[in-house]
This record gives sequence, structure tokens and C-alpha cells, in this order.
Amino acid sequence: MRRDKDRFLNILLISPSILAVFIFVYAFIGWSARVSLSKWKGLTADYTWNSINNYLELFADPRFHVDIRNTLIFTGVFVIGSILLGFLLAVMLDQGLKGEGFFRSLFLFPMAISYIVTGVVWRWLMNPAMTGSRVTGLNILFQNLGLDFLANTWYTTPTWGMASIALAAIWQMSGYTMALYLAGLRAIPQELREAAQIDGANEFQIYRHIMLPLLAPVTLSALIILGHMSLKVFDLIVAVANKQLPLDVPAIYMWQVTFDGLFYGKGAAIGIILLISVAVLIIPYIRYTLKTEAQQ
Amino acid sequence: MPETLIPLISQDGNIYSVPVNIHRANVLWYNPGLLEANGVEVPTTIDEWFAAMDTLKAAGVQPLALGEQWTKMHLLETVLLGSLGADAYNGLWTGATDWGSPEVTAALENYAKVLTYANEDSASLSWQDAAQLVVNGDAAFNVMGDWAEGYFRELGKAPNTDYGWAATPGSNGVFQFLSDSFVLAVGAPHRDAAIAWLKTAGSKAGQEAFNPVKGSICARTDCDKSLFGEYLQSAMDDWAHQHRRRFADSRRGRQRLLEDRN
Repeated sequence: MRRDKDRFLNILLISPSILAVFIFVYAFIGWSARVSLSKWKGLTADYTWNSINNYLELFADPRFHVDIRNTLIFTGVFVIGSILLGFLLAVMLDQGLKGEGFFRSLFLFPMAISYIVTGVVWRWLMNPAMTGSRVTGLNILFQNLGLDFLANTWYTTPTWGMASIALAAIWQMSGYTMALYLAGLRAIPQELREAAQIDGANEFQIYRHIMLPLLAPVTLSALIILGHMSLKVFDLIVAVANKQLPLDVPAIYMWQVTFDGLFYGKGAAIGIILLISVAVLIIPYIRYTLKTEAQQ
Repeated sequence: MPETLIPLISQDGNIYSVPVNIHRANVLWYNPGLLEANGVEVPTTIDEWFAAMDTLKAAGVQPLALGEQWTKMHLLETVLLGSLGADAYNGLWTGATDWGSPEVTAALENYAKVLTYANEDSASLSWQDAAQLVVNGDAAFNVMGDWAEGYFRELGKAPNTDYGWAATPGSNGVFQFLSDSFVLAVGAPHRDAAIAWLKTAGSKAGQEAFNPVKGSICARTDCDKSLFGEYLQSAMDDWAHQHRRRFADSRRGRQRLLEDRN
């Protein structure tokens, strides 16, 4: 009897969240999917059936091809850079140095900042002027250090400008990756390291053959978390460079086609493509995590 | 309402929107002091413009100030207009002018050459940043719509001393314009309020209050000229006396308005 009452109370207490999630997440996903299959264009809703034509148009659209290329460049540089830098920082902090807590907070701190703030700061740091009175940020730093060859046009560089945006994102997220790896390193029993040392392994061999394989699940988590963030990147790019074609990504295209162009059908199709690409990463990961948790 | 505007906001003989302003797009802004110091006349043709910019470049002056992507598209339009003339330019939008023709190719080559005179950090500058280079004496020319004038006045700069203006090279006598306009949507939830707003936006009092501050001229012919500054009075004269005009589509106009607010 008491159990039934508890159960009733539990359901009652979580029902507002369930309802809200159902309406604001799943119902809107469904609605977007429906709009993406419509001919809606303009300020008034139009649900005329358009089959998958919005999607076919996008896949034939040269601008969307640029978006995909840019996303791949950003994802590659951002994910690999954050993981390498994060791992390096974690290994350094794991050496038992003094003031570890201070450095841990210091490296983790950028994560607490919004992408807009990061973008505004890096917009200044990566000012593309190379000569004249408008040289600022990193370019002037390089010049004053006599490292002129390092000065470059940053995010305005054709094709690879996207990699500069990824630098700002690496600055923001490598601390978080460090925290993941540090937790992973601390979970590895000290005995394993000692046993390897007794067997004559050097530090490099210990990391290469013992730590790294044991950290594989952490690397997977980092890949998924960073990967799905980079697929959705929008605010950072807009804060650095506004909306310009060389740095176009699907989320920016979605914004312009929907809210500037009023092509709601096509905009919704981009949204659904983004959702699917993120889901492809996230869903297997969630299933894997739930399964391993159940086993434990 | 100006006659040239009516067909552009009509479909099947019915007028669909209420225009509030007219902006001129083909304006070349220049720094009078820099031009004078280097003995350069205000160019009226594209070739004169190239010659002027060569002189300035040789003297170590930044010839052309340019900003982010949409300002480059704006510049492209004015170079096409200046190279092709109003009729052939209008033909680009109706299909009467072939984009593959040698004339258009030559116009695009002009554009590529114009870009070589621009600042290399253009992609990182907003239209305000770029326009400001001219009034601050850091660059000689800037091509921008006449909303730039509203910005110059806001900076406390004086017409004819801190900045001068002319039609973009090759487009003398042509008034390339865009107009912001408001519509009433089907099924608008507050129909009466929307209609009241449209009435205000279209009224003489509404437009006389809005346009001098926005830096545009009225989309009606009876506004009191004395309410406007020197540049806008000259734009009103040009609007009244020039014949060939081309409308940049309304969505682009809306985009410009958004950029103005930034």
C-alpha cells in the first residue's frame, strides 16, 4: 500500500518534466520534421506536401557542400587538438606537482565562459591585418617577438580559415578534456604503474602500453562529446566573423535560410540533417553507456 | 508615392506593401582632404577611378576601404552598374543581359581589379569600420549606400569637409535604390494594430520623423525638404531628376536594415 503511494507520488513529481520534455523536445522535433517536408516559404505557415525535395535540393546545393567541408575541417582540428592538448595537460598535472588544484581550475576555467565571449576575445586576437595601423592581437605579438613568419590572416585565410576558429574552440574545451583524462588517470590503480616499473618499463612505455589502453573509454567519451559540439557550432563563428560564406556551416545556413530568407521548409530540413548527424554519434554512445552501467 | 516605386511593390495590379524610405545604393564616399592633397579629382568613370587609386596607392594612401562579405556584394553591384550602364545592368535581373557575354566578363574583371585596391583585412571589418576609415583619413574611397551618411553624422563629421560624395564611377545620373517596406500578413493576430502601424509608417508625419534620422529620403513626394541634411537634400534632387533607377530586391533591403542596426 505504501509502495503504491510512493510510486504515485514519484510519477506525480516527475510528470511536469516529462511533459515539458515531450512538448519542447520531441513534439518540436516532430513539427520540424513535418515542416521540412513542406513547401512553407514566407511568413504564413504552409504545410503543402513537398516529399523529400528540400533535402534533395540541399544535397545538390554547392553552399551546403562548403558547409560540410567546413564542418569536417572544424571537427578534425577541434577534436584532435582538444584531445591531444587535454591529454598532455592531464599527464602533466598527474605528475604530483605543487599547486595542482590551482592549475586544474585555471585550465578548466575557459569552459565556464560562453562561446560568444570567447569569440569576441579571439576575434581581436586573430585580427587578420598584417601591416599598417590595424595590426593587433597575435599578429602584433609575433611581430614584436621577431616571429613575423607566424603572423597570418587567420580566419580570413581561404579554405583553411575554419581551422583558426577551431583554435579558439580548443582553447575553450581542452581544459574540459583534461578533466576527463585526469579523472581517468586517477582511476587507474597505482599497482599497475609500479608493476610496470619493476618490469623495467620507462615512463613513455607506461603511458603508451598501460595508461592509453586503459583510458580508451575516456577517449571515446571525449570524442563523442567534442564531436557533437562541433557539429552544432554556430555562436563561436558568428562572434568571431559574423555570417560570411568562407566560414559557413549548416547551423549558419539554417539561420539565414529560415530567418533572413523565410524558407522555413528548407531551414527545417537543415535542422533535421543536423539532428540526425548528432544522433548518429550520440545514440550508440548512450546505449553503450547504459549497457556498461547495467553490467556494473 | 513615387511612380517608379509602385510596380516594384505590386503584383497583378495590386499594391502589397507600404514603403517607408528610399536609400541610394550607388554612392562613392571620399575623403576630400586626401584627394586634394594628392591632386586627385573625384572620378566619374571606372577608368578615372583606377587612375585615381593608382596615384593614391603610389603616394602610400589606402585607396579603397572595404568591409565584410555583404559590402563586397554591394560593391560588385555598383561596379557592374558602372561598367554596363543602367539598361544592361537591369537586363542581368530580367535575363535580357547574358551573364556570359564579353561585356559582363569585362565588368567582372573590373571588379577583380577594384578589389586589389582594398584593405587586406576587409573580411574582419563591418560596414561601419570600413566607412569610418574614410572620414578618419585612413582611406580615400568607400562604396556604401547612403545609410553611411547617417553614420557619419552620428560620428559628428561634417558634409563636404570630412566626407564628400558622388555617384559611383560610371553611374552618374543613375539612382540605384532600395526601399524598406512593411506588409500585413494573412491571418495576422493583431490585424487592427498592424493596420494602424502601416498607416503611421506610410504617413507624411511618420516618414518625416523616420527618414532624416535613418539617413534616407521619403517614399512619398510631399515631405518637407528643410527637415533633411545637406546630403539628403541632394539625394532628393537626384531622385526627382534622374530617370533610370533600379530596385535592389526587398529582402536584401531588409538585410541592410538589419545590418544598420548592428
